[in-house]
This record gives sequence, C-alpha cells and structure tokens, in this order.
Amino acid sequence: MNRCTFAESLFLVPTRDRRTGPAILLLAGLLFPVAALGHAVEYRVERGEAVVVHFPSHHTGAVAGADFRVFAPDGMRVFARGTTDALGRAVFVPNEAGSWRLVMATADGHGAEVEIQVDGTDAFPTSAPSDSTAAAGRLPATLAGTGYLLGLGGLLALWRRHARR
Amino acid sequence: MHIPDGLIAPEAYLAASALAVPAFAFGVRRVARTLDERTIPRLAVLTALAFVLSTVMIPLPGGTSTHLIGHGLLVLAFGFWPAFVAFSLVLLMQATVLGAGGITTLPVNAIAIGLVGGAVVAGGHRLLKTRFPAAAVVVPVWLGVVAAAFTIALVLGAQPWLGRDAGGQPLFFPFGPAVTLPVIVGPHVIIGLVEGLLAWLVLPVLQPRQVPA
Repeated sequence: MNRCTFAESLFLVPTRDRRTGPAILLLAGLLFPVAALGHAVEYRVERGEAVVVHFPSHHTGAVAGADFRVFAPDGMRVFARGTTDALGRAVFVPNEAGSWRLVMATADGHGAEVEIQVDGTDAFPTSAPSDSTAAAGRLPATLAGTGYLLGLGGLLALWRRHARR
Repeated sequence: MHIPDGLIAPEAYLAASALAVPAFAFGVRRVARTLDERTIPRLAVLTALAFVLSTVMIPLPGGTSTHLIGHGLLVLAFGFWPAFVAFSLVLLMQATVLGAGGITTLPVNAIAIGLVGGAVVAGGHRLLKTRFPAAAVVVPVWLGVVAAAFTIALVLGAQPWLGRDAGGQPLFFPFGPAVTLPVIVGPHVIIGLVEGLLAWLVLPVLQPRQVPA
C-alpha cells in the first residue's frame, strides 16, 4: 500500500521530496492576496496647517540636520522628533490646543527652546521670535551690552570712590 | 560654548545654582574689597572686551560656529574671583541682550568657564611662572579653555540619562558624551590656542597684577 504525503493528499499530485509539501504551502500563502494585506502600509495625504519653526543662522546660513523634539502640552511627553531640513526648518502638526514646546539641539551644544501657543482653531499662531536680536540686529545689541558693562564698571568705581571718602 | 535654555535638566541647573550663587556672592565681596576705583574701570573694559570677543562667531564645518571667550585674560589680569564675577556678568549680558546662552543654564556656564576654567588658568599660571615664564600665559589660558569645554561636554553628555519620557526618549539634550566630547572639545583646542596668544599680546599692555592666593 502506497503512503501519500500531506501535500499529495492536499493537492492530489504525487511528490518525491518531503520538502515539496511545505514549499507548495508557502508558495500558496505568499501568492494569496489576503495575506499581503497584513503587511500593507496604509497612507493618506492630508492637507492642513502645520507649525514650521525656522532656525536661520546668523553666520552659516541655516541650522540644517539638527535634532529636534516636540513636547505636547502635558510637558513631559515627546510628541514628535526629527531633524531640521536643509533650510533649517522643524515641522510638526499639533493635534490639540495648548502650549507646545520645541527643543532643537546640535551635537556641539548649540540649540534653542521655542514655546508655541496653539489655540485649537485651524490657524495655528506661531510664537513670537525667540531671539529678539534677530530683529534688533547683532551690532546694536553688542553695543548695548558693551555699554551696560562699561556703565556698570563706572558706577562701581564711583561707589568705591565714594565709600573711601 | 555656553549652553542655551531647554537643554539641561532641572536637577542639573538647580545643583549648579546652589554652587554658583554663593560663589558669585563671595566673588562680589572679594571684588569690593580688593579692587579700587582705578582698577575697577580696567576690569570693566576687559569685561566688555570679553563680551565683544564672544560675539565674533567663527564658522565651523557642519553648519555651526564657535567664538573666543576672553576669560583667561581676565583671570591673569585681575585674579580668579574678579574674573569669575566679570564673566558671570558677560554670560548674563549674552543671555539677555544677545539671546546667546540661557538664563537657567547660566550657573552651569559660569561654573564651567568661570570656576573650572578659571581655576585651571590661575593654577597653571602659578605653576609655570617661575620655571617656564615664557609659557606661563599661553599654556594656562589654552588649558583653561579646554577644561571649560570638557566640563560643558560632560554636563551636556549627561543629560540623556537625567531626563527621559515614558518611551525612553531624552527630554533634554539628546547626545551622550561619546558625541559631545569630540565635537565640543575639538574646536576649543584651537580656540584656546588663539585665546592664549591674545592674552600673551594684551597682558603686557595692562600691567598685570599678581594672581591672588
């Protein structure tokens, strides 16, 4: 009496190798379209408002490729992370109203912390510029800082002179 | 080199504040006691010079930059404590006027540059001035800059361990010491040399006083 394998009984064809049956089953599984859906990555394209935080650099063009993290309004949860694009932009799409925080850091210790208020409407108002010197200009700011330090020294010298009398 | 806000865990900057604030108060008392109305304007001029030096950015490969510090010159010209007080004011001006560096991180920056870097400059100068007077300016200033950069790199590199969210993501500065040490210390090896040469050129003009014991 001839004994038939599981594959022979399943597909009604004779098989000579013990591996033939499992191979046929595997092939059938791979070709079965329903199985492919299990690993499909679904996507859809949405058009909406995103928050774009731009990190231009005063001297090197843009802070490109820097690590950034976005913290949800609860404060201690990383909502999104990534790297700034070639133009120095960090982009994320908030999903709730509140005060969002974005922290950008480069490996050499430079970085910035940006607070972004989202009011819950479709239009997301971005924060005020974190670096007020960007608008004021570095030269006036440098002159102002120099003046403060020299003035402070002058006041201290006058006080010292007065204290000696 | 100074760290901006948002990159340091509260545990780190609160601990640094506990050290830096008393040190600053002590330094102010030393300045008021040891400097007179003739030396204080000189200190103010060099403090302003340190502030201006820190605004001159030197671009580095990779889209970032570095700058001179000017702290070593302050230490050699006026001593450790006046230099610490002066440079703390420089850091305050940088944070408030220029937006460079941070307010919460100011104590960390002051400790790294003012205390650690300053101690290396003052100690190195004292060790070298009798045996190797020719090197007693450039070498200590160079070492002080490198030591400050090393401290900053260590503090930043420790941040991934000080704060993580539930998913294990760093809440503050994300890079460890394997990244920060070469990236931060490397450029400051060159910056320190430039600072040392600058101090060597400027000090004779200032009629330097002895570094106090």
